[in-house]
Parts: sequence; structure tokens; C-alpha cells
Amino acid sequence: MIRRFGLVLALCAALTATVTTEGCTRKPPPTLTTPQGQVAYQIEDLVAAIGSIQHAAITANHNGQVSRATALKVTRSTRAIAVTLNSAIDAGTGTAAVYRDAAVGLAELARDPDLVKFRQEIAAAQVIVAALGGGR
Amino acid sequence: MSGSQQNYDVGAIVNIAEPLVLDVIAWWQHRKAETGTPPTDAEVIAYTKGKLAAIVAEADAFEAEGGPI
Repeated sequence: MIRRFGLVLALCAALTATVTTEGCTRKPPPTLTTPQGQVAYQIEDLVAAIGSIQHAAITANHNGQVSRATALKVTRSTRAIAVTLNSAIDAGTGTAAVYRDAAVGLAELARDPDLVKFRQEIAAAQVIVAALGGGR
Repeated sequence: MSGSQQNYDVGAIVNIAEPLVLDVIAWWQHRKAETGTPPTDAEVIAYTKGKLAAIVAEADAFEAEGGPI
């Protein structure tokens, strides 16, 4: 738990240095006026993190490092999270709920013993979720 | 938290996470420098949705590859 807290703080430091923040929750720029635009901005890095996990899994399978079954376990989860995030943009729903849903999906991946190889990518996504206001 | 997670490399995770977080900021600044105005809501939505579409497409392509489980 202490290590996780340290990771969140480290990422928050990067965020604070580059964008306007309130605590560790990134606020969208004031020029974005629609809920859909604000949600799209706020979740972009989580989207990138999900894509990173998925790409790592597919690459590892292509390189013979993990089975197709293991990689499929990842891609089916990341695809489901991506669809959820896409719906969140359309609905313009609050990011706290979005991050909470994503945190649940990521926690399932993190608990899976078959996915130890991707634990750093998964942990990075979890830290992003936590640093941006979810998973608390 | 599982035992395996407790052993992760803090520096490595930050190295993975930071570029992901900074990506949208870099895009925003590049876009603003190019046009002189910040991206619109529609552009930001298209940018993020484009990444989401790429994730779904990549997953579907992998699913369609077939091969031994």
C-alpha cells in the first residue's frame, strides 16, 4: 500500500508540473465546454494505458512469450474497458464513475496469476487511475 | 494486493505511466502551436475516440488471427 501511494505521488508530481491540477485530479482546460469533450480529455491517458497493456500482450504472444489463451484474456478485457470508455464519452458521464469501472477491470487483470508478465503495465494503468481520481 | 504486485519496480512503472499521462498534453501543445488556438471539444473527442477505436480494432484483429490456444 505504501509503495502504491508512492507511485501515485510520483505521477501526481509529473501532472502538477505540467497541467493545472487540484490535488491529483486533473481538470480539463476551460476551453473545453461540453461534458463529452471534458470526459474525452480526462480519460485520454487511461485510454493510452489500456492500449499499452493490450499491445504488450499481443506482442508477447507473437514473440512466443505467452500463450494465445493468455493474450486473449487480456485483449478481451481491454476491449471491454475500451467500449465502456467510449460509452462514457458519448454520455459525458462523470469521470469518477468511469475510473471506478476501469479500476475494477484492471484489478481483475492484476489478480490473474497468468498475467504476471504484464504486471508493470497493469500497475501503471492502476496508478494512472488512482492519480487521476479513481480507485480510491 | 497480491504478492507479485508488491514486488513491482517503482521506477519502471513510473517510466511506463508518465509518457502515457503526458501524451495528451504533448498533443494539445502541438495542436495549439500549429493552429494558434486550442483544440475544440470535437477534436479532443475525435482524438480519444480514435485511440479507443484502435484498441478495439487491434483486439478484433488478434481475435480473428486464430491459431493454437
